[in-house]
Amino acid sequence: MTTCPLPIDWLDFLEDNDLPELADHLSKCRSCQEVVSRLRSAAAQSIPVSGLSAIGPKLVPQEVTSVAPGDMFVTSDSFKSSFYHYAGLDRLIVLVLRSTDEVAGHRWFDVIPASIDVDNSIPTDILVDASDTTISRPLCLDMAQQITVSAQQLGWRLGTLTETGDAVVRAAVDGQIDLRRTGPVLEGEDDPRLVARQESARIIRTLSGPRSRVIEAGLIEQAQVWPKVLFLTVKGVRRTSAHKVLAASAQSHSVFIATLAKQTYGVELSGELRTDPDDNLWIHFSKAAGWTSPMRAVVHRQVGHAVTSQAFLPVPGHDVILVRRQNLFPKEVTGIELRLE
Amino acid sequence: MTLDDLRREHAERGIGNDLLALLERIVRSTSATYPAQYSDTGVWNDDSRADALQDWIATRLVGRGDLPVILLTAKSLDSFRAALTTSFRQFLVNRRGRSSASNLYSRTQHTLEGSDEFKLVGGRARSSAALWTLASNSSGDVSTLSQEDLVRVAWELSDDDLGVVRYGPYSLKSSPILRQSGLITFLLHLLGSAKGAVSLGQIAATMRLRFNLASLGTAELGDSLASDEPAPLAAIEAAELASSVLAQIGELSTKCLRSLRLAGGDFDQAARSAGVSKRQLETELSRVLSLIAQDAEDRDQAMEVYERLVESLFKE
Repeated sequence: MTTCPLPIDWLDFLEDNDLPELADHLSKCRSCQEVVSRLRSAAAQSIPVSGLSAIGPKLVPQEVTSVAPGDMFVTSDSFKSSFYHYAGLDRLIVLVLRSTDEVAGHRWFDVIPASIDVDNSIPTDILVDASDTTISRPLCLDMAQQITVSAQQLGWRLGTLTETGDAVVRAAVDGQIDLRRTGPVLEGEDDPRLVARQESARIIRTLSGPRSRVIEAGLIEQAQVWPKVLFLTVKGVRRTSAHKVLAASAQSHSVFIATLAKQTYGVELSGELRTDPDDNLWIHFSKAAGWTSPMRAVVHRQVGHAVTSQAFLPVPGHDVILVRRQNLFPKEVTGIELRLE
Repeated sequence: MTLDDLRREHAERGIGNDLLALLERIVRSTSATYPAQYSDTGVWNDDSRADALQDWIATRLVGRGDLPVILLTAKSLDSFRAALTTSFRQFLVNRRGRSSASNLYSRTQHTLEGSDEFKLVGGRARSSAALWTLASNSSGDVSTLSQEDLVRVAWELSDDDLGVVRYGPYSLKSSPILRQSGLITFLLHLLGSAKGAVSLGQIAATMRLRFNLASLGTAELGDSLASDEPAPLAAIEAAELASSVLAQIGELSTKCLRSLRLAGGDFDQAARSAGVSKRQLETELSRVLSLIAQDAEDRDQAMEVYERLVESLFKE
């Protein structure tokens, strides 16, 4: 067991010793022994509490009858289709940004995960106030984690953005960020706020599974004459010619090339990934034709959640930042999803 | 008692007997893993735990409406208990973090009032609306810079320029982020570049974003600015801090710390011995150091706490 029981589990244990699994863990875990020791000496008695009557604002979930931009939902704990399924998932609040397309018998929507954990907000989050939604509580919108989900992945409808909330989110999506509405700067890749997000990142990964499966299966290209989403694969290749010396050096030098996962009529896109000293991940477009509208890139990586870029226009010979200040190396990128704005 | 029972109780009565009993146990058990300085009174006893329970319910679970969301999104009673524990931990840490931010805002106000280099040009001196500018600025104009512009100006001075002493994952959270000379340098630069007077509230918001401070509500900021003296954060003894950190880090971290000590600081060897990747070992170590840094008074104490913590892992 690597995940330790909670302090309240140890309180249960102290009051009811008939919990053999906990006893076994306790015999081996120095940290939990300390918890139990502190509980024995400091928290033996119940806290005297009386006359507390707290109701607070209600949250009344409704059946999903329609899905529209600005609506807020709680995701379903399970999903089952011919191409993907999961069950027993913790639920997440999501904000619907836009309707995307209808593929594989499902209506798909771009959504932004939301959390009540405003204390752990980071610079890529947008903070909305209680007055910004009809569910009347402050929320943290994880703009970097935008994903596409099926309507069937939405469990209950909670409410919607108010007029002011809608303006805030629209401005943020357009790149006009009000710094007072974002979280404080990160203190490095081990910032405790990032650690606190690991659980929701796991849920987000599962929620993005059905859409990823649809893309991998090439169903999107089949469904649409002109794709709104393209997928780039990333491969590391050794430099030749001018880079032979580097390639032969002790620190063998690979470059990472992103190319279209599937040939798409009329579209040419490829580029080279690199990082800079500020830990930004860039793409240098060598080819860019066919797609001339602004787009965003969703960068998928081996470990951790996908990251969505700012909107950009791919121009041959030009560089674009895909991921800002996250110390993400090209070799860690498993694929790049490009979405037309 | 099942999660559905608790949901039903909440829908009918808000926080009824069963929910309250659960919340009480979360507070009683979780608070025991934190040093007494995390209580409002500097000691954990029935009264301070009852206060923490009331505050947590009033500000977060009911006041901010977190409880119905946690109830709705939990998949099981276990995950509900885990989410409540996380919520209470954040409540405790945030409450202490606010003291730290409050200290800096209060020092800022005292610096502005006490130095000949600054002058008040409008508003009441001890309010967040008070407007301050450089004494050398003959104009009484108010700065037209946006909050974003002010933050950009604030970033023009690097941490080295300002001698920031609290930055990075191992930063010492309870120590002052800016020494007095750094604070004056910062205020001179900010007000000198603002092209007009700036309110104390704007200065505080700029500092929050520049130095990663806890956010304070208007009322709290007002209280902080109005106080005569900054309230010093209570010091935590090294032994108590080591014990508290040990109670919070869990089995994997203790395994990594032990392995690292036995390997004489060799990360590769320690990772192999602990059965984790080197990256994971570094992450666990970083998490432990962050916890220590959150409450250590200075680097010497942080080192002492780390030593005590590691030594305690070898005691039978």
